[in-house]
Amino acid sequence: MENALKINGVVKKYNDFTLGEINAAIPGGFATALIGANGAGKTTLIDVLCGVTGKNSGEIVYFDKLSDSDSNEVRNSIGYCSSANFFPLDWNLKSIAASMEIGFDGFSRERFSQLCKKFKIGDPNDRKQKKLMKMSDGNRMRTYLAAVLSRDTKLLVLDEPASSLDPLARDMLCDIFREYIADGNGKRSVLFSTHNIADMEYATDYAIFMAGGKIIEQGFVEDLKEKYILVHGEADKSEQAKNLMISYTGNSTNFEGIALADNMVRLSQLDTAVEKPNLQQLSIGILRKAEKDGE
Amino acid sequence: MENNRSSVSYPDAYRIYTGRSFASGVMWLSIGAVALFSGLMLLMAFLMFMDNDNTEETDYLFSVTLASIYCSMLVVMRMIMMFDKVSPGGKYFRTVKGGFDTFAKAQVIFIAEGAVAVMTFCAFLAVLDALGIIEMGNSIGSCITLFITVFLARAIASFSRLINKPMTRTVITIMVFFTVNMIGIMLIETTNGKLGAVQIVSAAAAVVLTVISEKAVLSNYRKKHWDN
Repeated sequence: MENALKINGVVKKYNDFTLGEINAAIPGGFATALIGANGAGKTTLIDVLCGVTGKNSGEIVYFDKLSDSDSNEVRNSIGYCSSANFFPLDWNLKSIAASMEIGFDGFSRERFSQLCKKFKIGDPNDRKQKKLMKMSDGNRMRTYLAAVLSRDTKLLVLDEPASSLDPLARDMLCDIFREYIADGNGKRSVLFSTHNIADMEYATDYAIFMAGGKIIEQGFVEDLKEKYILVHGEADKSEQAKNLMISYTGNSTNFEGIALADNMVRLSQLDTAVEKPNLQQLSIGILRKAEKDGE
Repeated sequence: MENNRSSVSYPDAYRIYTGRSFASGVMWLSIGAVALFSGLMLLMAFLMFMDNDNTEETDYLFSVTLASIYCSMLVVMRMIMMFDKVSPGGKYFRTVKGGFDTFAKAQVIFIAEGAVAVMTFCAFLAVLDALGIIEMGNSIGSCITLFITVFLARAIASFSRLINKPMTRTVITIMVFFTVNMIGIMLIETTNGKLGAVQIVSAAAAVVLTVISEKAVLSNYRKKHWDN
């Protein structure tokens, strides 16, 4: 299986924050979600991967062959967009098309026009154009997505694409990811960061969990759901169960949390109910443990 | 500084950074300046009509001062745009073909944009002078002096972009433009717009300082802002 990205020992230092050392492989042909609390380093990692921010050390290999993020081949292959103010606010659909058709090889005005209509944000060929500053946050995000999807790329890297979208648009975004990957016959991949885990689960094949600038867990979602279990039980058994769990919440009557599947037998002996967690439950459990470990 | 490796042409770099063609950008910038200036001249004419004490000398000084302010505005707008990562579009511009080298080309074409817009504006002033609407002395000479003054001020003020603090940067830019423009206006007034050695030396200094300041600013910007 080809890797969309292979990250080897990447470190980026700021005065008050250090990303890394990051080691990861983003599998090609899948959608990968970057999950973490605010300030975990998701945006910094995405910026480093897309050449928006330089790194202090380490290496990134793109599509198993390219390593220069500054090369036009990498720039043309990656469709990146951030969640806020990706384009100047006085631009409209027409200026975006004018800029992008020169800024990247493989930008299709026709596709951009089609996507703008599909996302109900107007038509870049219209005489009257609405500036981005006059659009709602949701429509601005739709515009960024239309722009980036109008390019012929091998990897979409989107920073918080779902944050300003309504539930229907989030659902559409999941479909778009699926279509994008399917159209590429296994050669296209998606990497996105998100806080809307429940809404984006359908579009997530692989998950990378981050905390404090480091990767704390990663793997295919289905494998992670085998590795971890969701545990429920009554409060009187909570103290014994707690020691076998990686994250725990409880009240005077019952408790719930995530545990490693290896502890399933011992937890079952405590009259607990065990089930397969969804990505949201898994994420909360893993991130809660990271937060606790960090204290 | 290394040679520019971007395959994007200068006008295309302009298009990437502005979303419009160079010709359209210059046209709108010039039209905007001419329209604003005309509006202000109309206001001035109205005030003069109300105030009969006004002399021809104050008209002359007012016209030249106002013209120099407008020309300065035309070049300073692009100069102060820093395209930081957190600014709208900052991240987008870092991902386009050519990356920093395309940004460097855009910076050069922005100077050309300002030059063409100032020239167009100066031509408009010359026409107004010829029609007797404003008083510019030797109008062609005054316009050329104005052009040189503004670009000398730009070249000197451009060094302020090496300063990190935005407030300090802004204050220095304003001070430099004010001082150099004042000297230019006094020069126009004392020579009545006739060209001489001062203008030639100033023009040469403007060119040399522009090249030096742009290279220094771009090199510093790449190290401290673009890659950081």
